[in-house]
Amino acid sequence: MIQLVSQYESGSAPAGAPPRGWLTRYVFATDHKIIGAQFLFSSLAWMAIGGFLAMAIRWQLAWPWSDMPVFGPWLFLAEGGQISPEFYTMLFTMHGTIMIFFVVIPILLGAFGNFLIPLMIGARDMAFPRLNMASYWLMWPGFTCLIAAFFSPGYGPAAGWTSYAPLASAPEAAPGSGLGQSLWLASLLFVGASSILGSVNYITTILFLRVRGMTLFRMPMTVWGLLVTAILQALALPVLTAALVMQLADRHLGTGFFMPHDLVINNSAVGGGAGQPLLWQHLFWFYSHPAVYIMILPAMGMVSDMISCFSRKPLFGYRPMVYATCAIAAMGFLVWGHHMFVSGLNPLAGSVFMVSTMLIALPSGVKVFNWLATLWGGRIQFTTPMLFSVAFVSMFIIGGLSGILMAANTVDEYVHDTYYIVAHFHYVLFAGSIMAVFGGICYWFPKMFGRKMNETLGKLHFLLTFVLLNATFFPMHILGWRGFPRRYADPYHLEQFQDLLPLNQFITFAALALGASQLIFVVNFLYSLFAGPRAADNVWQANTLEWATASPPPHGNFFREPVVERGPYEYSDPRSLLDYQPQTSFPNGSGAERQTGEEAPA
Amino acid sequence: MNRLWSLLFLAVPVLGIVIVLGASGVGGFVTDRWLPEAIGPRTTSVDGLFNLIHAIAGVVFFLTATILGVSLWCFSADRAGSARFWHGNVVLELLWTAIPAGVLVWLAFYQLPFWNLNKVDAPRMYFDPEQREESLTPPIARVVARQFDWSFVYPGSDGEFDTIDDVVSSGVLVLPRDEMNVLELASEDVIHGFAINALRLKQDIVPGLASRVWFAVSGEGEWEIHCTELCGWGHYRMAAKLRVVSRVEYDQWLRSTLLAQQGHDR
Repeated sequence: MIQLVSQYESGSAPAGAPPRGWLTRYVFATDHKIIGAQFLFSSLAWMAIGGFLAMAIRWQLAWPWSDMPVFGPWLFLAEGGQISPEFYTMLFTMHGTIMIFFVVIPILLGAFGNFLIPLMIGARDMAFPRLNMASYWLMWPGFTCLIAAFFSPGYGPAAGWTSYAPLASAPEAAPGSGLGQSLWLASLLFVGASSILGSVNYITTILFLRVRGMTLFRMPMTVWGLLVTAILQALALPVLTAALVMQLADRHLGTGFFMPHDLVINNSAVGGGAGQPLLWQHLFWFYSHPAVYIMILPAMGMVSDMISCFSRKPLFGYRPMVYATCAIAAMGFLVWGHHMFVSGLNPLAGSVFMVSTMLIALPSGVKVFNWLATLWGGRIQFTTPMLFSVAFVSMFIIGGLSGILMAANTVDEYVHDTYYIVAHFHYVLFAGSIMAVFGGICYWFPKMFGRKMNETLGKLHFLLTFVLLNATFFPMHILGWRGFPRRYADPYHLEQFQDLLPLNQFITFAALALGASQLIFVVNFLYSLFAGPRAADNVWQANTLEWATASPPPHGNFFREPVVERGPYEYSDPRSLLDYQPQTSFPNGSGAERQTGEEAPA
Repeated sequence: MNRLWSLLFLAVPVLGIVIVLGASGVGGFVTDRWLPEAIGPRTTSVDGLFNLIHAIAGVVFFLTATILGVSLWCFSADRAGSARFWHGNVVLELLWTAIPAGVLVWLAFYQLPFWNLNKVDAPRMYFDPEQREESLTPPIARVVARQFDWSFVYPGSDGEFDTIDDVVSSGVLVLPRDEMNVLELASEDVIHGFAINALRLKQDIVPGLASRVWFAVSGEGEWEIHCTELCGWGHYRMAAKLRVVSRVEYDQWLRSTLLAQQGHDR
């Protein structure tokens, strides 16, 4: 409790004096809100790059080996404007890597985590502001390495975002497994270090800097999601970090962690130790399965907050929701083997992982039921953030249910490495997490930048995205049912898939349109950033603490120490005059915030 | 008119189910087949489970997605009064935890025997009174994967691999019909995946790690074998043929291939 009092009474720690210079204010900033915005901008830029790579993948699957218009001659001059198989393997490797490690994780944790945690718990800043700055700036060596990897020989890393050894370990195995792979590993090391610093900061801040009255069970679901995610990261990421270092050592120091004896790769004998390629898969998935939850739990939290606010109704089953979040995280450590059902893992272990994977569907289901019950009996406002949030739930139902099919290892044997898997994880990550991200951006944009985004453009963007993402990803299930393999530069090389070409062309048309419709978001975002209408402090009439301060919040966040009186979801209390009751207001009061607009203390 | 948005979400379960039924062959307008042709007994359990899980998931999907759309329609701010001040309901929470839990646990244990049959319990051949144990059926062939082709090694008459009478077939795996065939999988370089869609069969081949698959094929014909673990730039073209013939034809083929090979060696 000492920290709780001191951050406001000392007037300095941890926010400190407001920075004076432009450089310390916007570039090497220690203010969590600026760092959040930095993460947001860089992740959105990477999302554009990752999206372009996806378009190129779709081009090849619809019109294999044909000249790509406009970009083709510029990108691959040597092939006369065609995508080569080497280039194609790079495309999906980098698309996956970028979207997971440079977009979804940093935007959820880096952008929303940074911006929202201190505001939502009433802290003046993160517990360790300089560590926070380091966490953002460690991303940049990661960015640099990954960009350099694009220009390394053989077009860049091409062993898939999973980088299974020995393909990724032996430079002889693939044109991109040389320098490009080393840069890929280095890039992930930097990004991982950034995430570990961030996690430590988030956990400390949430546990120790909550303002008076903000008990754990008065925290918004967003903060719960971020807390649990940060714990997941802090526990799982060191394992991946170790694995990355081990693969680097295999490549450059002559060790043989993942390299077995007597390999002859590409006509050259590759030395190695008595290593085990499956060890890489265990270590990789020990992190990367929890990473799936890292990429969805904060989104679930954000969606819970938005759905409750725009249903004008308390979140149904707040505590069960918290328990479900914790259960997903805990069980998330016991299911990594379901990525390895057919990997050569002992099939008896596969049975154990099958049972644990079946069970992890349970807390996710509980969450869906609670969201439905929150909507039921509400007074639903169809704002853009609400539409994206409801879309999250709607799409997560599909992505969650298709997960059960894969959990059943007997069936997974068939759908493993097919487009069914591709459909599943895009439903969870794009139709799920990215929808929550779009919703979250529309929802918190006024708080971040003090201006509102355009609702009409927002709804148009939502409508096109929602329809087109389904047109893109739903037919991929059909491809998967037919056993259509992923990561194939030319699946029509096999006779059994030749009749699936028209369906792939349809998917590509939808994907290209989906990509193009994101321009609406870009326009809306940039226009609103500079010329959007000024937003009120509590533009959505929401309860959580971030709405109890100015938009955008000042350095140090709150003009005076807020005191939390109630939980975050007290909407439509019949005893209250208004249909919302901010966490800071007096019980049964008018709902007006205490301290907004007051002057900052000297 | 805001609640017209709920129609968009109501379209999800309707269109979803229509498209799935269409793709499964009921309407026949998306593809003409839901699953590929099935050629062996092992596919029965996989396909049955595949359909069962889709049926359960389809019902749950239709119900939840419809409830979602209906709630949006009924409780839109356009027409609803004030929202209910509900915080939760313990009975409901217990119900929607316990029922799915029951279904999931049942599903997990229901499908265990199929997995054991297809992946755990390797076929056994005979009871050896001296060893006092059953012996595993020896492999009929060894699948050798390398970037980016397949070869298939048959042990020949001595039943031992890596001897002078080994028969090597490049790109074509010939097997007798209606017999339980055991294959040994080996990789010379990176990880490959041995997959036959018509058998719903898939197994990664890890260099340095012995693994086996087993299956029987009910008919005669030719099917495609493909690689399902990214193995480099030529992954997409790493394909081979599975040719299934009668036992007599198989023996003839084995003999003639051996003769041709020995003639070639000389």
